[in-house]
Amino acid sequence: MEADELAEVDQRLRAICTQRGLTWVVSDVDELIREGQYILELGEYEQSRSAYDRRFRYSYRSSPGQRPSPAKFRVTPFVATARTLLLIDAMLAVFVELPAARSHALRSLGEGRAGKTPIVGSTSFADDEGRVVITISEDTEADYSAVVANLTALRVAVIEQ
Amino acid sequence: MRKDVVDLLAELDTNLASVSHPFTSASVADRIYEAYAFSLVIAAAVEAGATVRYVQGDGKEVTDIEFRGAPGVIHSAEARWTYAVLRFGRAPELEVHVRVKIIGGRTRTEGECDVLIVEQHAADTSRYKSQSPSASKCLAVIECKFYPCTLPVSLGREFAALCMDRGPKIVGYFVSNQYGPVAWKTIAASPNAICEFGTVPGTRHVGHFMSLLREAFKRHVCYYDPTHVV
Repeated sequence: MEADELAEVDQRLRAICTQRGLTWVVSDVDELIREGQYILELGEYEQSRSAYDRRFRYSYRSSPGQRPSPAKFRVTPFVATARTLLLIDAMLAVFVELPAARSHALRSLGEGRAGKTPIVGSTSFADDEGRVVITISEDTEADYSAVVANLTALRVAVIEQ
Repeated sequence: MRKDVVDLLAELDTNLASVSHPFTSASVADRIYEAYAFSLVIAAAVEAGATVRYVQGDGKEVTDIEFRGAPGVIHSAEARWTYAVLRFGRAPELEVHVRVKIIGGRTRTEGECDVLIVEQHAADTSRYKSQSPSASKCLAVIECKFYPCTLPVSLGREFAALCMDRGPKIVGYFVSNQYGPVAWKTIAASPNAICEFGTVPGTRHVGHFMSLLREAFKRHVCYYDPTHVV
């Protein structure tokens, strides 16, 4: 996908998120973009091992007996494609993992486990005044499959083009 | 833009408009994930041979669970907040609370726990003294984080600092649906902090997390009633 086309997809996705109650997802993605992408740096030990592999000789160790150094990262900015994929994947996490966690909690608490736990009727979170702020309940979960299918197809389109 | 991509975006917008989903804030996502983590604690306890009751602040047993929407305290005058009571053989009962505060070991400041497993006598003392329990009196603290993308390093740093403050006697578990290599490295540096990333239904990480909880329950049962088979 051309850079300007990719930017257009990204912008459109951000607009959709803002209009459809997913501003928080955009914020979290932006925070990650600001932080940058952590790339694992090859340590001295791994470099010497790869030299061994290529030349079929004993590997050169600059400091025999020294423990290989721990993982080190360098930070690089996300490229445009990766930025758009981050947003698509973030939306997928919301519409795949969150409903799955909710269904599991409802099923697990509601089954009673052969009399070892009471069967839970409802689960909710309330504020200090007693107003229910969040009820953990099933809603139109089946409809998420269409959203997930759209996002999956969009992901493929961004990668392939 | 290619026509199929334009169509896909339009279709996505239409489908999103029609579902009217409830996932409209990070807070909602975190509350759902906390309820999920709570259900895993209960499942791990039952698998380890516990019997479970759900109780309100006034001791009344309930089947409708109401958790705190904002961080609160175990000794709250409000009776309606629900917690679970776990019994393993003759070992003293454990309580599982959601979104309560405990007092750090070093700074003596109150900090929030998403899910707290605490011995009942420590919770009773807290209610009697109207003071949050000390971290050293708790069995485990679980930090739950639903995140839509890779975990930022700041989350790892905050959790590692909390575990450091709470002292070595309490284990802190960081569970999240996501991964974060640098957050992991930061948390792993704390001896009493354990993370289990990628914990969502259907993954092997759920089993690993439940094994960690089982180990915590085993320590408690072994101390008080080693005849009880966990």
